[in-house]
Amino acid sequence: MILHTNEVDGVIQVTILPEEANLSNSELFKEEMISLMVNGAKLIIVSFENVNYIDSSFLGSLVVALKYALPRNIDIYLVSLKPDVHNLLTLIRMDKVFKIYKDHQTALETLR
Amino acid sequence: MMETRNKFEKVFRCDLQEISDMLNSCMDYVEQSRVLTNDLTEDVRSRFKWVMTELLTNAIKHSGVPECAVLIVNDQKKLVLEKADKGLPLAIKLENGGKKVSWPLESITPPVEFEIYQNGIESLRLSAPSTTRAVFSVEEMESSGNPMISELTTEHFGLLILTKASDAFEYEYESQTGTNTFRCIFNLKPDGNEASV
Repeated sequence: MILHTNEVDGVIQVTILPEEANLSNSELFKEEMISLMVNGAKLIIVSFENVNYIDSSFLGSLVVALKYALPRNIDIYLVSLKPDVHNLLTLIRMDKVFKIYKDHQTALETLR
Repeated sequence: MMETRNKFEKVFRCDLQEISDMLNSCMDYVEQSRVLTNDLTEDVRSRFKWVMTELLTNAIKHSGVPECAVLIVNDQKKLVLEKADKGLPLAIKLENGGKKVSWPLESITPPVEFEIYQNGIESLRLSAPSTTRAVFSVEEMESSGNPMISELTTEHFGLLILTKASDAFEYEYESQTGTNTFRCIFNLKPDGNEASV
C-alpha cells in the first residue's frame, strides 16, 4: 500500500507514504487511485507532504488517474507539494492541469 | 569510479534500488566541485537532479542492458552530464500517425526535424543533423489555454523533463561500438546566476 486513506464528510483524503514517488511505486499508486474511484470517490485530495522527489513515471500515473477521473466527473486535488515537486510539475505545465492547493484545509475551503 | 576536480565517472547498475545512491554520489560531487566558483544555484541543483534521475530511470526502462556509465564533466562555465550504454538505441514513437523512429536513421535522410508531440501550448521537437544524432528542443505555441492530455502525454514526460530542465539535450549513436550517449548541458554563470533556459 502506497496511500494512507481517510474519508471525511464524503471527501477522500489520501497521503502518499513514500518520500520518493518514482518508477518503483508509480504503478501501485495508479491502481490504488483507480480503485478509490471505482469504489465511488467523487473528490480525492492527494497530499504530497511526505514526498521529497517525484519522477516522470509517477507523474505519468498521476495523469492516468486524472484521465480516468475527468469523464466520470471525479475531482483530484493535489496539496502540500514541496517546492521541488511543485517546480517539476510547473516545468512540464502540469500545474495547469491539476488543481493544486497549499494544504488540505485550503482545498476544503474552496468547496464551501 | 573515477573522480577528479573536473571529471566524475561511475558505472550505474540498472536497478531501481541503485538510483538513490547514484544520485547522492553525483550530487555530492557536483556540490563539492562548484564550491570554489560558488555558481551552483538552487535552480541548477534541482534541474540537475531531475535530469539525472530521468536518465537513470530511462536506463532501467529502455536500455535493456545491466549497466551504463555516468560521466560528469565540470567545465568552467557549464556542467555536462552524460549517460552511455551499449543497449538498445533510441526509439521514439511520434504522435502524428503513431510512427516510430529509431536510431541510427535508415529510411530518413538527414537533416530532418520531427515533432514528437504537442499539447496545444508547447511542442516537443527533435532535429536529426545526421543519421546518428538527435537534438531535442521545446517550442512554445501561440496559445493561452491549458495543456491537452493526449495519448502520448505521459509516455514523453521523461523526454520533456530532460529537454526542459537541461540547457541542451542530445543523443548520439556511435555505430562502431554500438554506444548510445545521452548528453545534457547546464550553463552556469560565475556570479551564481545560471543562464536562463
